[in-house]
Amino acid sequence: MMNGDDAVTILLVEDNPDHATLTLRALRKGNLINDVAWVRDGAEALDFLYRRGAYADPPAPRPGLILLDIKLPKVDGHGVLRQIKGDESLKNIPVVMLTTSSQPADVNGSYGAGANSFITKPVSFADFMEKIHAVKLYWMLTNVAPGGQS
Amino acid sequence: MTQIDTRLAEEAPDALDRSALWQALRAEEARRMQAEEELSARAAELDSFVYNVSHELKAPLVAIQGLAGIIVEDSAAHLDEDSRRLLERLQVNVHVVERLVQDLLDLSRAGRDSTPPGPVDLAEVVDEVAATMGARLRARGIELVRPDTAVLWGVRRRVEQVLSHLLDNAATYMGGQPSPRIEVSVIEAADLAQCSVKDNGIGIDPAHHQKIFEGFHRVREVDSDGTGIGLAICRRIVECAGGRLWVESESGHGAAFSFTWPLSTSGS
Repeated sequence: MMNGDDAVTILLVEDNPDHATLTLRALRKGNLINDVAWVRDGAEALDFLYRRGAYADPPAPRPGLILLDIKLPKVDGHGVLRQIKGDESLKNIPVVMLTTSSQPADVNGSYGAGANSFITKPVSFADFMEKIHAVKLYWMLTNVAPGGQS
Repeated sequence: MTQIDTRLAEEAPDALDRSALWQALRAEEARRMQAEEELSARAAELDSFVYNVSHELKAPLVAIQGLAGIIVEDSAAHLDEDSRRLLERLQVNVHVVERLVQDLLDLSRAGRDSTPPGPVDLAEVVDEVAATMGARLRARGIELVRPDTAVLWGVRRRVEQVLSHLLDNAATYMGGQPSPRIEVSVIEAADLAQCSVKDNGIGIDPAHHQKIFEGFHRVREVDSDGTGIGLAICRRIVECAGGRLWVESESGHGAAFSFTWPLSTSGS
């Protein structure tokens, strides 16, 4: 199920280009190298996951982690999450909600729909870098993925 | 006329009056209930609006602070002193807006907790708040007197917010006091606790006593990086918990902020 090489792909679903710049920077920090694919809306995220349209040929890799914003154009984060967690072939991919919201409805709704984690984006640059880096280390190194791959 | 006829003639208008009065009362009651429902729907709408605006404001703040952080991280060595100072000012200002947004969020959230209430140990909360303010209290040489314990009934985070704002205010408005002191005390009466945060700082002129709870009103004698809505948040939290918050103070003679809060019925 992994893409041919050893690097696990992280899928970042983020419509705000500045937030994407920051998140990509944090994900690329350190020695742990991962491919990061960035898509800008929910529909593109689903195309990526189902290898449709621009992601059909060559087929997009199956991500080992999805960082998912909530407020997204076309299909919002809740919609993407429901689709992933309702699909046998995708539901094991860890989904970390990454958003500015800490609204109880968003937090509870996300966990209710099967999100694996919920992270709010800190305003402080240092905190932002540290938090995203910690998320990556945890899901890529500490956590044991289904099938025994960490 | 018979005796009964006479009584009927005498009492009928009275009974009619009572019936009309009864109907008027019922109509008035229905109007009042409808008005209350409308008011509470509008309040909920306003809360939700503040909540959404706060989140919409947070997204660009994350971007501004982050992009400034990237410039500092990548290019600080190439910037002259003026540019570095301006960049620092930019970050400080973003931080001020961030606090304001957070305070607005807190204000809109008060009374709409998703966390269920439970027993809250007052002395423990004071210790925690004091620990987070520790460096600041020590730097100013402030002596903090802790309260006897009382077990309140509420959402711990809310009690913490109230005490944190009150202790922060007390430390901020200490002025030139050579022996600065903050005393937190508690009295238990029936099912309520009355908790007071008393300082020996610069005090507050009674002319400001109402306005300081209204938000965005800061007594301009002291430089403070506060947002000016801390006490409005405190009052709202306390009132949502079924208590009351007030101040007793005179200019130059310290201030005592007191609030009442329900006690835990399970006992301490």
